[in-house]
This record gives sequence, C-alpha cells and structure tokens, in this order.
Amino acid sequence: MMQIADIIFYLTGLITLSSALMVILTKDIFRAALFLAATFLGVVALFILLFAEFLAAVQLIIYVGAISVVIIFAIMFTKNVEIGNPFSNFRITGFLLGLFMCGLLIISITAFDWDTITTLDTKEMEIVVYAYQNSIYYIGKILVTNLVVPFIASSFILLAAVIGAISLVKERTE
Amino acid sequence: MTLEGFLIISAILFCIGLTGVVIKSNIIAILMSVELMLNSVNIAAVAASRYVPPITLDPSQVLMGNMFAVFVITIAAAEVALGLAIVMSVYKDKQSIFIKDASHLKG
Repeated sequence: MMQIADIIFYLTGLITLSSALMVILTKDIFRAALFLAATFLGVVALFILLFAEFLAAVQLIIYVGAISVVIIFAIMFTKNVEIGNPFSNFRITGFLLGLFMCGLLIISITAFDWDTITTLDTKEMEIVVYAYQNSIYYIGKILVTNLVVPFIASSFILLAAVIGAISLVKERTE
Repeated sequence: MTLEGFLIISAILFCIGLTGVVIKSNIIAILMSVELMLNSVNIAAVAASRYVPPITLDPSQVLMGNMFAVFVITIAAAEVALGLAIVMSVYKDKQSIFIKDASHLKG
C-alpha cells in the first residue's frame, strides 16, 4: 500500500523531469522557456514535500516570477524564435556524455546504503522537527550571525551584476 | 519519498542540464540549461539537510542545507541577469544569438 505522499512525490518528479527534458528537446525556444517555468514549478513542489516552505516561496518568486520573465523578454527581443533552438555539432557527444554521467551518478547513489546515515534517534528527530517548525526564524538568525560574511558578499555580487548588466546593454553615446 | 529518491531526481535533472549545455547552439538555451543544473543542486542540498541528522544538537545547524540553496538562488539571479545582458550585447553587434557567430575573442 503506497502512501499518498509517495504518489505525489513520484508524480512531481515525473512532471519535473519530463518538462526539463522538453526544455532541451523542443525546437521552439519560446516553448522551451515555458517548459522551463514548468520545471521550476515542479522544483517548488519538491521543496514543499521537503518541508522547506521558505525556499519554496523564494523559488516561486525569484525563478518562476523573475528569471522566467527575464528569459522570455530576452527571447522576444531577439529574432529567430521558431527555429531558435537547434542542436549544435556536438549532438551525439552531448547525449552520450549525459547518459554516461546519468548512469554513473545513479549507480553510485544506489550503491550507497543511505539508511546508515539518515536514521535519526528520538533526540535528533525532536531537534529536526523543531528547527523545521521554526525555519523562518532560524534562517533569519543564521543569515545575520553564522553566515553574515557570505550574506554581505552576495549583496555585493548582486550590486556588481546590476551595474554590469546596465553598462553592457546601455546605448553608447559618444 | 526517501533521500535516495530525491538524490536520483536531482542527478537526472543535473544530467539533463549538462546535456543541454553541450548540445544546444543558442546562447539563451544554454543559459536555461545552466538554470536546470543549479536547480538540481538546490534539490540535493535541501534533501540532504532534511534527512541527514545534524552533527551538533543545534537547531540552526539543521537548516544549513537550506542556506546553501538560498545563496545558490542569489547567485543564479545575478548570473542570469549578466548572461542575458551579454546575449543582448552580442545580438546588437552580430544580429544573431547562436554560439557559432559569437567568436569575437577567437582573433
């Protein structure tokens, strides 16, 4: 007897992986962008299944809301939308490389016995459940205590990216 | 719904992105494949933080995998903004978004 969460998990994984496959197989680049948004939505569902509600909200706002829209804008600013997604000369090499890596990763994942490191005793279980119930509080706390240096560094990276993007696309006036 | 299942989904998604980076000739499609790879890494990090118990009994150590994903999302946003700005710049120069035309640096 399968549990309902397992059915939702398999369904979500199937939708995510098939729309990710359509991103690289479809000819029309606009449809590829829409399938990319579907993949991001599948990842949101996987995050919710993992009890990471904050990340699901962030993923929904940033990836589905912002990055997909920016990619679609870039597609509409350029020509050749209908034939815009052809294969390169490395098609055979690429598929073989992907299949090889996929087989290697799946073999090495299934070869390891994950139960040896994922079994939690009651004390650990209590702490994990407590941390996930107050996840927003602890994420905010980590961000300004333990990880304050990466936080400031990533804000500088965002600032540099914004300035770089503006200076790359602005009209050159002599 | 085990750690193994999430890791296998993440591995397949990563390989789809890797294949897309190699076989595509459109710069925007290559950027979309890079986004797929970053997303698969996020799934793996969050799944590990959910299933593997913390070393110290501190609640803030439990959520370190989630913090990884937060920083990866930040860098992905910066990366896609810069990448698409470069695509627009190349398009203004060459009227094309295919990698065979973007050979300015070849000399």
